[in-house]
Amino acid sequence: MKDKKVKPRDWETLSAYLDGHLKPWQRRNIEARLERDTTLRERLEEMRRTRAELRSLPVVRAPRNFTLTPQMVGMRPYSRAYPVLRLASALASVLFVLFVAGDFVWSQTLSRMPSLAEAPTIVPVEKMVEVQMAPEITLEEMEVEVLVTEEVAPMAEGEWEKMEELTETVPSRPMDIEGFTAPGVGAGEGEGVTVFPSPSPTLTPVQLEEVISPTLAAVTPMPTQVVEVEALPKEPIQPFSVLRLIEGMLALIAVGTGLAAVYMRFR
Amino acid sequence: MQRSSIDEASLIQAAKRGDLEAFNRLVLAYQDMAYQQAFRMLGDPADADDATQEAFIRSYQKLHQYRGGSFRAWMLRILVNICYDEFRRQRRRPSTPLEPTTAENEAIESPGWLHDPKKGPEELLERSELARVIQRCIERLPLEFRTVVILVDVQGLEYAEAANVIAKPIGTVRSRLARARVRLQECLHTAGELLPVRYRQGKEIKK
Repeated sequence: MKDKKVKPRDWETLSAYLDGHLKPWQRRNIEARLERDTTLRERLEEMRRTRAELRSLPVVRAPRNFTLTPQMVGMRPYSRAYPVLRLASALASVLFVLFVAGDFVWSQTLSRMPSLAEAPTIVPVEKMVEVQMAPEITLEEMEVEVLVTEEVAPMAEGEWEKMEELTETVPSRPMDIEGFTAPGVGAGEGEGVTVFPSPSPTLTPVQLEEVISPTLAAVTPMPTQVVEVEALPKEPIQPFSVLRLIEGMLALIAVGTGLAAVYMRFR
Repeated sequence: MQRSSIDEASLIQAAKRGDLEAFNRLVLAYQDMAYQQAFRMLGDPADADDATQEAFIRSYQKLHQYRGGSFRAWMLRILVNICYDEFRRQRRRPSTPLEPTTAENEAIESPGWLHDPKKGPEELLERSELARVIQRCIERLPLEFRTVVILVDVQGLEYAEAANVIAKPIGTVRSRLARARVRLQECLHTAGELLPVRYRQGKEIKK
Protein backbone atom coordinates (compact mmCIF):
# COMPACT_ATOMS: atom_id res chain seq x y z
CA MET A 1 0.00 0.00 0.00
CA LYS A 2 3.03 2.19 -0.01
CA ASP A 3 2.59 2.80 -3.73
CA LYS A 4 0.99 6.22 -4.01
CA LYS A 5 -0.31 5.58 -7.52
CA VAL A 6 -2.42 2.58 -6.60
CA LYS A 7 -5.43 3.24 -4.41
CA PRO A 8 -6.80 0.64 -1.99
CA ARG A 9 -9.89 0.25 -4.19
CA ASP A 10 -7.63 -0.47 -7.16
CA TRP A 11 -5.82 -3.20 -5.24
CA GLU A 12 -9.15 -4.80 -4.45
CA THR A 13 -10.19 -4.58 -8.08
CA LEU A 14 -6.88 -6.09 -9.24
CA SER A 15 -7.23 -8.94 -6.74
CA ALA A 16 -10.79 -9.70 -7.83
CA TYR A 17 -9.74 -9.40 -11.48
CA LEU A 18 -7.08 -12.07 -10.92
CA ASP A 19 -9.70 -14.40 -9.44
CA GLY A 20 -12.30 -13.64 -12.11
CA HIS A 21 -14.74 -12.14 -9.63
CA LEU A 22 -15.47 -8.87 -11.45
CA LYS A 23 -18.67 -8.00 -13.24
CA PRO A 24 -18.29 -7.65 -17.03
CA TRP A 25 -18.37 -3.85 -16.98
CA GLN A 26 -15.81 -3.76 -14.13
CA ARG A 27 -13.55 -6.12 -16.03
CA ARG A 28 -13.76 -4.00 -19.20
CA ASN A 29 -12.99 -0.93 -17.13
CA ILE A 30 -9.88 -2.36 -15.43
CA GLU A 31 -8.59 -3.88 -18.69
CA ALA A 32 -8.81 -0.46 -20.34
CA ARG A 33 -6.85 1.07 -17.46
CA LEU A 34 -4.25 -1.71 -17.53
CA GLU A 35 -3.59 -1.00 -21.20
CA ARG A 36 -2.91 2.64 -20.41
CA ASP A 37 -1.20 2.40 -16.99
CA THR A 38 2.16 0.58 -16.85
CA THR A 39 2.48 0.84 -13.06
CA LEU A 40 -0.90 -0.76 -12.56
CA ARG A 41 0.14 -3.56 -14.89
CA GLU A 42 3.31 -4.14 -12.85
CA ARG A 43 1.35 -4.28 -9.63
CA LEU A 44 -0.99 -6.77 -11.18
CA GLU A 45 1.93 -9.00 -12.16
CA GLU A 46 3.43 -8.78 -8.67
CA MET A 47 0.12 -9.78 -7.16
CA ARG A 48 -0.24 -12.63 -9.63
CA ARG A 49 3.23 -13.88 -8.67
CA THR A 50 2.49 -13.64 -4.97
CA ARG A 51 -0.75 -15.57 -5.45
CA ALA A 52 1.12 -18.19 -7.47
CA GLU A 53 3.67 -18.63 -4.68
CA LEU A 54 0.92 -19.00 -2.13
CA ARG A 55 -0.81 -21.60 -4.24
CA SER A 56 2.42 -23.51 -4.72
CA LEU A 57 3.02 -23.91 -1.01
CA PRO A 58 3.57 -27.56 -0.17
CA VAL A 59 0.48 -29.31 1.12
CA VAL A 60 0.82 -29.89 4.81
CA ARG A 61 -0.51 -33.34 5.54
CA ALA A 62 -1.94 -34.40 8.84
CA PRO A 63 0.80 -36.06 10.91
CA ARG A 64 -1.66 -38.64 12.21
CA ASN A 65 -5.28 -39.72 11.93
CA PHE A 66 -7.74 -37.59 13.85
CA THR A 67 -10.49 -40.23 13.98
CA LEU A 68 -12.61 -40.13 17.10
CA THR A 69 -13.13 -42.78 19.75
CA PRO A 70 -16.28 -43.15 21.89
CA GLN A 71 -14.31 -41.89 24.90
CA MET A 72 -13.33 -38.69 23.06
CA VAL A 73 -16.91 -37.70 22.37
CA GLY A 74 -18.24 -38.89 25.72
CA MET A 75 -20.35 -41.54 24.09
CA ARG A 76 -21.92 -44.02 26.47
CA PRO A 77 -22.37 -47.68 25.53
CA TYR A 78 -26.14 -47.67 25.95
CA SER A 79 -26.76 -44.78 23.61
CA ARG A 80 -28.15 -47.24 21.07
CA ALA A 81 -31.25 -47.50 23.27
CA TYR A 82 -32.29 -44.04 22.09
CA PRO A 83 -33.90 -45.11 18.79
CA VAL A 84 -35.64 -48.02 20.53
CA LEU A 85 -37.11 -45.73 23.18
CA ARG A 86 -38.13 -43.21 20.56
CA LEU A 87 -39.93 -45.90 18.55
CA ALA A 88 -41.65 -47.29 21.66
CA SER A 89 -42.86 -43.83 22.62
CA ALA A 90 -44.21 -43.17 19.14
CA LEU A 91 -46.01 -46.52 18.99
CA ALA A 92 -47.54 -46.09 22.43
CA SER A 93 -48.70 -42.59 21.50
CA VAL A 94 -50.37 -43.82 18.31
CA LEU A 95 -52.08 -46.69 20.14
CA PHE A 96 -53.21 -44.32 22.87
CA VAL A 97 -54.83 -42.02 20.33
CA LEU A 98 -56.53 -44.98 18.62
CA PHE A 99 -57.91 -46.30 21.90
CA VAL A 100 -59.21 -42.91 22.97
CA ALA A 101 -60.87 -42.44 19.59
CA GLY A 102 -62.40 -45.94 19.78
CA ASP A 103 -63.61 -45.27 23.30
CA PHE A 104 -65.26 -42.05 22.20
CA VAL A 105 -66.94 -43.65 19.19
CA TRP A 106 -68.25 -46.52 21.30
CA SER A 107 -69.68 -44.26 23.96
CA GLN A 108 -71.37 -42.18 21.26
CA THR A 109 -72.85 -45.31 19.72
CA LEU A 110 -74.20 -46.52 23.06
CA SER A 111 -75.81 -43.19 23.82
CA ARG A 112 -77.73 -43.39 20.54
CA MET A 113 -79.14 -46.84 21.40
CA PRO A 114 -81.81 -46.34 24.17
CA SER A 115 -82.28 -50.03 24.84
CA LEU A 116 -78.63 -50.33 25.68
CA ALA A 117 -78.34 -46.97 27.34
CA GLU A 118 -81.25 -47.60 29.75
CA ALA A 119 -80.30 -51.11 30.68
CA PRO A 120 -80.36 -51.53 34.49
CA THR A 121 -77.02 -51.60 35.98
CA ILE A 122 -78.16 -52.45 39.49
CA VAL A 123 -79.63 -55.82 40.18
CA PRO A 124 -82.83 -55.53 42.27
CA VAL A 125 -82.97 -56.79 45.80
CA GLU A 126 -83.16 -60.52 45.74
CA LYS A 127 -83.64 -61.37 49.37
CA MET A 128 -83.50 -60.03 52.81
CA VAL A 129 -80.47 -60.86 54.73
CA GLU A 130 -80.61 -61.02 58.42
CA VAL A 131 -77.38 -59.75 59.77
CA GLN A 132 -76.59 -60.63 63.28
CA MET A 133 -74.41 -58.28 65.16
CA ALA A 134 -71.14 -59.91 66.10
CA PRO A 135 -71.93 -63.44 65.05
CA GLU A 136 -68.38 -64.51 65.43
CA ILE A 137 -68.71 -65.65 69.05
CA THR A 138 -71.52 -67.85 70.27
CA LEU A 139 -72.21 -68.83 73.75
CA GLU A 140 -71.13 -72.40 73.04
CA GLU A 141 -67.77 -71.22 71.90
CA MET A 142 -67.26 -68.91 74.78
CA GLU A 143 -65.32 -70.53 77.52
CA VAL A 144 -66.33 -69.07 80.74
CA GLU A 145 -65.72 -69.75 84.32
CA VAL A 146 -68.92 -69.52 86.14
CA LEU A 147 -69.05 -68.94 89.79
CA VAL A 148 -72.40 -69.74 91.18
CA THR A 149 -72.92 -67.56 94.18
CA GLU A 150 -76.40 -68.55 95.04
CA GLU A 151 -78.88 -71.18 94.13
CA VAL A 152 -81.22 -70.11 91.39
CA ALA A 153 -84.84 -70.83 90.92
CA PRO A 154 -85.97 -73.47 88.41
CA MET A 155 -86.86 -72.23 84.90
CA ALA A 156 -90.44 -71.47 84.25
CA GLU A 157 -92.35 -73.10 81.46
CA GLY A 158 -91.94 -71.43 78.06
CA GLU A 159 -88.83 -69.66 79.06
CA TRP A 160 -86.60 -72.35 77.59
CA GLU A 161 -87.48 -71.19 74.06
CA LYS A 162 -86.44 -67.66 74.98
CA MET A 163 -83.21 -69.03 76.27
CA GLU A 164 -82.50 -70.90 73.05
CA GLU A 165 -83.13 -67.79 71.04
CA LEU A 166 -80.77 -65.88 73.22
CA THR A 167 -78.01 -68.40 72.96
CA GLU A 168 -77.96 -68.02 69.22
CA THR A 169 -77.27 -64.34 69.38
CA VAL A 170 -74.69 -63.04 71.71
CA PRO A 171 -73.79 -59.39 71.72
CA SER A 172 -70.13 -58.51 71.16
CA ARG A 173 -70.13 -55.85 73.84
CA PRO A 174 -69.73 -56.75 77.49
CA MET A 175 -72.67 -58.75 78.60
CA ASP A 176 -75.37 -56.79 80.30
CA ILE A 177 -77.46 -59.58 81.55
CA GLU A 178 -79.68 -59.50 84.52
CA GLY A 179 -78.26 -62.04 86.91
CA PHE A 180 -74.76 -61.75 85.37
CA THR A 181 -72.19 -59.20 86.26
CA ALA A 182 -69.16 -58.25 84.26
CA PRO A 183 -65.87 -58.60 86.09
CA GLY A 184 -65.02 -55.64 88.24
CA VAL A 185 -68.56 -54.39 88.30
CA GLY A 186 -69.61 -56.53 91.18
CA ALA A 187 -72.39 -59.01 91.58
CA GLY A 188 -75.97 -58.19 92.19
CA GLU A 189 -77.58 -58.76 95.50
CA GLY A 190 -77.74 -62.49 95.92
CA GLU A 191 -79.04 -63.49 92.47
CA GLY A 192 -76.27 -62.73 90.00
CA VAL A 193 -73.42 -64.80 88.68
CA THR A 194 -70.08 -63.43 87.78
CA VAL A 195 -68.69 -64.45 84.40
CA PHE A 196 -64.95 -64.33 83.87
CA PRO A 197 -63.69 -65.03 80.37
CA SER A 198 -60.91 -67.49 80.83
CA PRO A 199 -58.46 -69.20 78.43
CA SER A 200 -58.70 -72.45 80.39
CA PRO A 201 -61.98 -74.32 80.09
CA THR A 202 -63.57 -75.23 83.34
CA LEU A 203 -66.90 -76.37 82.00
CA THR A 204 -68.00 -78.13 78.87
CA PRO A 205 -70.82 -76.49 76.94
CA VAL A 206 -73.24 -79.15 78.13
CA GLN A 207 -72.26 -78.60 81.74
CA LEU A 208 -72.45 -74.90 81.24
CA GLU A 209 -75.92 -75.16 79.86
CA GLU A 210 -77.02 -77.25 82.78
CA VAL A 211 -75.59 -74.79 85.25
CA ILE A 212 -76.82 -71.56 83.81
CA SER A 213 -80.12 -72.56 82.27
CA PRO A 214 -82.11 -71.94 85.47
CA THR A 215 -80.36 -68.65 85.96
CA LEU A 216 -81.01 -67.42 82.44
CA ALA A 217 -84.67 -67.63 83.13
CA ALA A 218 -84.51 -64.18 84.58
CA VAL A 219 -82.45 -62.80 81.72
CA THR A 220 -83.92 -60.07 79.61
CA PRO A 221 -82.96 -60.96 76.09
CA MET A 222 -81.19 -58.38 73.96
CA PRO A 223 -83.20 -57.34 71.02
CA THR A 224 -81.81 -58.89 67.91
CA GLN A 225 -80.80 -56.30 65.43
CA VAL A 226 -82.17 -57.12 62.08
CA VAL A 227 -80.91 -55.04 59.26
CA GLU A 228 -82.47 -55.10 55.93
CA VAL A 229 -79.93 -54.63 53.22
CA GLU A 230 -80.06 -54.85 49.57
CA ALA A 231 -78.15 -57.75 48.21
CA LEU A 232 -75.00 -56.53 46.51
CA PRO A 233 -75.65 -56.61 42.82
CA LYS A 234 -73.35 -58.68 40.74
CA GLU A 235 -71.82 -55.96 38.56
CA PRO A 236 -70.80 -57.17 35.14
CA ILE A 237 -67.26 -56.32 33.97
CA GLN A 238 -67.49 -52.91 32.33
CA PRO A 239 -65.72 -52.77 28.96
CA PHE A 240 -65.18 -49.04 29.53
CA SER A 241 -63.13 -49.59 32.63
CA VAL A 242 -60.87 -52.05 30.78
CA LEU A 243 -60.48 -49.53 28.00
CA ARG A 244 -59.58 -46.76 30.44
CA LEU A 245 -57.03 -49.03 32.07
CA ILE A 246 -55.40 -49.75 28.72
CA GLU A 247 -55.48 -46.06 27.81
CA GLY A 248 -53.81 -45.15 31.08
CA MET A 249 -51.11 -47.73 30.60
CA LEU A 250 -50.44 -46.59 27.04
CA ALA A 251 -50.22 -42.98 28.15
CA LEU A 252 -47.76 -43.91 30.87
CA ILE A 253 -45.61 -45.91 28.45
CA ALA A 254 -45.66 -43.12 25.87
CA VAL A 255 -44.67 -40.43 28.37
CA GLY A 256 -42.11 -42.60 30.17
CA THR A 257 -40.27 -43.81 27.10
CA GLY A 258 -40.47 -40.36 25.55
CA LEU A 259 -38.87 -38.73 28.57
CA ALA A 260 -36.19 -41.43 28.68
CA ALA A 261 -35.44 -40.87 24.98
CA VAL A 262 -35.17 -37.11 25.47
CA TYR A 263 -32.87 -37.64 28.44
CA MET A 264 -30.61 -39.98 26.46
CA ARG A 265 -30.53 -37.59 23.52
CA PHE A 266 -29.59 -34.43 25.41
CA ARG A 267 -27.75 -35.67 28.47
CA MET B 1 -18.46 -35.62 -7.91
CA GLN B 2 -22.20 -35.95 -7.44
CA ARG B 3 -21.75 -39.46 -6.10
CA SER B 4 -19.23 -38.28 -3.54
CA SER B 5 -21.59 -35.56 -2.33
CA ILE B 6 -24.36 -38.17 -1.99
CA ASP B 7 -21.97 -40.36 -0.03
CA GLU B 8 -21.07 -37.40 2.14
CA ALA B 9 -24.74 -36.63 2.78
CA SER B 10 -25.45 -40.23 3.78
CA LEU B 11 -22.39 -40.28 6.02
CA ILE B 12 -23.54 -37.08 7.71
CA GLN B 13 -27.03 -38.51 8.24
CA ALA B 14 -25.57 -41.70 9.71
CA ALA B 15 -23.26 -39.68 11.96
CA LYS B 16 -26.22 -37.61 13.14
CA ARG B 17 -27.85 -40.85 14.26
CA GLY B 18 -24.77 -41.57 16.38
CA ASP B 19 -22.74 -43.65 13.92
CA LEU B 20 -19.18 -42.75 14.89
CA GLU B 21 -17.69 -44.88 12.13
CA ALA B 22 -19.51 -42.84 9.51
CA PHE B 23 -18.22 -39.62 11.06
CA ASN B 24 -14.68 -41.00 11.12
CA ARG B 25 -14.87 -41.49 7.36
CA LEU B 26 -15.60 -37.78 7.07
CA VAL B 27 -12.66 -37.09 9.39
CA LEU B 28 -10.33 -39.07 7.15
CA ALA B 29 -11.59 -37.16 4.12
CA TYR B 30 -11.02 -33.70 5.65
CA GLN B 31 -8.23 -34.11 8.17
CA ASP B 32 -5.42 -32.95 5.81
CA MET B 33 -7.28 -29.81 4.88
CA ALA B 34 -8.20 -29.10 8.49
CA TYR B 35 -4.67 -29.63 9.74
CA GLN B 36 -3.22 -27.45 6.99
CA GLN B 37 -5.63 -24.63 7.84
CA ALA B 38 -4.76 -24.87 11.54
CA PHE B 39 -1.04 -25.06 10.89
CA ARG B 40 -1.01 -22.10 8.49
CA MET B 41 -3.02 -20.03 10.93
CA LEU B 42 -1.18 -20.94 14.13
CA GLY B 43 2.29 -21.73 12.75
CA ASP B 44 2.96 -24.48 15.28
CA PRO B 45 2.49 -28.21 14.61
CA ALA B 46 1.50 -29.08 18.17
CA ASP B 47 -1.07 -26.29 18.37
CA ALA B 48 -2.38 -27.25 14.94
CA ASP B 49 -2.70 -30.86 16.07
CA ASP B 50 -4.69 -29.88 19.16
CA ALA B 51 -6.90 -27.48 17.23
CA THR B 52 -7.67 -30.05 14.55
CA GLN B 53 -8.58 -32.74 17.04
CA GLU B 54 -10.73 -30.34 19.00
CA ALA B 55 -12.46 -29.20 15.81
CA PHE B 56 -13.47 -32.75 14.90
CA ILE B 57 -14.73 -33.47 18.39
CA ARG B 58 -16.82 -30.30 18.42
CA SER B 59 -18.07 -31.01 14.91
CA TYR B 60 -19.35 -34.40 16.04
CA GLN B 61 -20.96 -32.98 19.14
CA LYS B 62 -22.63 -30.13 17.23
CA LEU B 63 -23.59 -32.21 14.22
CA HIS B 64 -27.29 -31.85 15.04
CA GLN B 65 -26.85 -28.10 14.37
CA TYR B 66 -25.65 -28.73 10.83
CA ARG B 67 -28.42 -27.64 8.47
CA GLY B 68 -27.05 -28.68 5.10
CA GLY B 69 -24.82 -26.79 2.68
CA SER B 70 -21.08 -27.28 2.45
CA PHE B 71 -19.99 -29.59 5.23
CA ARG B 72 -16.37 -28.60 4.56
CA ALA B 73 -17.20 -24.94 5.17
CA TRP B 74 -19.22 -25.76 8.29
CA MET B 75 -16.40 -27.83 9.76
CA LEU B 76 -13.78 -25.22 8.80
CA ARG B 77 -15.78 -22.53 10.57
CA ILE B 78 -15.56 -24.52 13.80
CA LEU B 79 -11.82 -24.98 13.24
CA VAL B 80 -11.23 -21.30 12.49
CA ASN B 81 -13.07 -20.31 15.67
CA ILE B 82 -10.90 -22.68 17.67
CA CYS B 83 -7.80 -21.14 16.07
CA TYR B 84 -9.07 -17.65 16.99
CA ASP B 85 -9.49 -18.81 20.60
CA GLU B 86 -6.02 -20.33 20.62
CA PHE B 87 -4.53 -17.22 19.08
CA ARG B 88 -6.11 -15.02 21.76
CA ARG B 89 -4.94 -17.40 24.47
CA GLN B 90 -1.37 -17.25 23.15
CA ARG B 91 -1.46 -13.46 23.13
CA ARG B 92 -2.59 -13.44 26.77
CA ARG B 93 0.02 -16.01 27.81
CA PRO B 94 3.04 -15.92 25.49
CA SER B 95 5.15 -19.08 25.74
CA THR B 96 8.73 -19.98 24.87
CA PRO B 97 9.12 -22.87 22.40
CA LEU B 98 11.02 -25.91 23.62
CA GLU B 99 12.51 -26.61 20.18
CA PRO B 100 16.06 -25.34 19.56
CA THR B 101 16.07 -22.03 17.72
CA THR B 102 18.67 -19.83 16.01
CA ALA B 103 19.70 -16.36 17.12
CA GLU B 104 16.88 -15.01 14.92
CA ASN B 105 14.47 -17.14 16.90
CA GLU B 106 13.89 -19.56 14.02
CA ALA B 107 13.56 -23.30 14.36
CA ILE B 108 16.81 -25.10 13.49
CA GLU B 109 15.19 -28.12 11.92
CA SER B 110 12.47 -27.75 9.38
CA PRO B 111 9.52 -30.09 9.90
CA GLY B 112 9.76 -33.38 8.10
CA TRP B 113 6.39 -33.03 6.43
CA LEU B 114 7.74 -30.17 4.27
CA HIS B 115 10.07 -32.49 2.39
CA ASP B 116 9.00 -33.60 -1.05
CA PRO B 117 10.87 -36.73 -2.18
CA LYS B 118 10.18 -36.02 -5.87
CA LYS B 119 12.34 -32.87 -5.92
CA GLY B 120 16.11 -32.60 -6.06
CA PRO B 121 18.17 -31.31 -3.11
CA GLU B 122 18.64 -27.78 -4.50
CA GLU B 123 15.07 -27.31 -5.50
CA LEU B 124 13.96 -28.85 -2.26
CA LEU B 125 16.06 -26.41 -0.32
CA GLU B 126 14.74 -23.55 -2.42
CA ARG B 127 11.12 -24.60 -1.99
CA SER B 128 11.63 -25.17 1.69
CA GLU B 129 13.21 -21.75 2.06
CA LEU B 130 10.47 -20.00 0.14
CA ALA B 131 7.77 -21.89 2.01
CA ARG B 132 9.30 -20.82 5.29
CA VAL B 133 9.47 -17.18 4.21
CA ILE B 134 5.86 -17.25 3.02
CA GLN B 135 4.76 -18.88 6.24
CA ARG B 136 6.54 -16.17 8.25
CA CYS B 137 4.82 -13.52 6.19
CA ILE B 138 1.44 -15.20 6.65
CA GLU B 139 1.96 -15.25 10.41
CA ARG B 140 2.59 -11.50 10.39
CA LEU B 141 -0.80 -10.81 8.89
CA PRO B 142 -3.71 -9.82 11.09
CA LEU B 143 -5.72 -12.92 11.96
CA GLU B 144 -8.75 -11.93 9.85
CA PHE B 145 -6.60 -11.42 6.73
CA ARG B 146 -4.61 -14.54 7.46
CA THR B 147 -7.73 -16.67 7.64
CA VAL B 148 -9.08 -15.49 4.32
CA VAL B 149 -5.84 -15.74 2.35
CA ILE B 150 -5.28 -19.29 3.60
CA LEU B 151 -8.84 -20.29 2.77
CA VAL B 152 -8.76 -18.88 -0.77
CA ASP B 153 -5.13 -19.02 -1.92
CA VAL B 154 -3.81 -22.02 0.01
CA GLN B 155 -6.92 -24.21 0.37
CA GLY B 156 -8.49 -23.10 -2.91
CA LEU B 157 -11.98 -22.26 -1.64
CA GLU B 158 -14.33 -20.06 -3.65
CA TYR B 159 -15.21 -16.63 -2.30
CA ALA B 160 -18.73 -17.79 -1.38
CA GLU B 161 -17.47 -20.78 0.58
CA ALA B 162 -14.84 -18.67 2.34
CA ALA B 163 -17.57 -16.19 3.23
CA ASN B 164 -19.55 -19.08 4.68
CA VAL B 165 -16.58 -20.11 6.80
CA ILE B 166 -15.98 -16.68 8.30
CA ALA B 167 -19.70 -15.88 8.42
CA LYS B 168 -19.23 -12.59 6.55
CA PRO B 169 -20.43 -11.26 3.18
CA ILE B 170 -18.52 -11.99 -0.01
CA GLY B 171 -17.51 -8.32 -0.20
CA THR B 172 -15.64 -8.72 3.07
CA VAL B 173 -13.78 -11.74 1.70
CA ARG B 174 -12.84 -9.80 -1.43
CA SER B 175 -11.61 -6.83 0.57
CA ARG B 176 -9.65 -8.84 3.13
CA LEU B 177 -8.11 -11.03 0.46
CA ALA B 178 -6.85 -8.04 -1.55
CA ARG B 179 -5.33 -6.41 1.52
CA ALA B 180 -3.75 -9.69 2.63
CA ARG B 181 -2.16 -10.18 -0.79
CA VAL B 182 -0.75 -6.66 -0.82
CA ARG B 183 0.72 -7.12 2.67
CA LEU B 184 2.22 -10.46 1.70
CA GLN B 185 3.70 -8.86 -1.38
CA GLU B 186 5.31 -6.18 0.78
CA CYS B 187 6.55 -8.77 3.23
CA LEU B 188 8.16 -10.82 0.46
CA HIS B 189 9.86 -7.72 -0.92
CA THR B 190 11.23 -7.01 2.53
CA ALA B 191 12.57 -10.54 2.78
CA GLY B 192 14.88 -9.64 -0.15
CA GLU B 193 17.82 -11.99 -0.13
CA LEU B 194 15.88 -14.68 1.70
CA LEU B 195 13.75 -15.18 -1.36
CA PRO B 196 14.73 -17.90 -3.80
CA VAL B 197 16.57 -16.93 -6.99
CA ARG B 198 13.58 -17.76 -9.15
CA TYR B 199 11.42 -15.28 -7.29
CA ARG B 200 14.05 -12.53 -7.35
CA GLN B 201 14.73 -13.12 -11.07
CA GLY B 202 11.07 -12.87 -11.86
CA LYS B 203 10.91 -9.64 -9.95
CA GLU B 204 13.98 -8.25 -11.70
CA ILE B 205 12.77 -9.31 -15.11
CA LYS B 206 9.47 -7.59 -14.58
CA LYS B 207 11.26 -4.46 -13.50
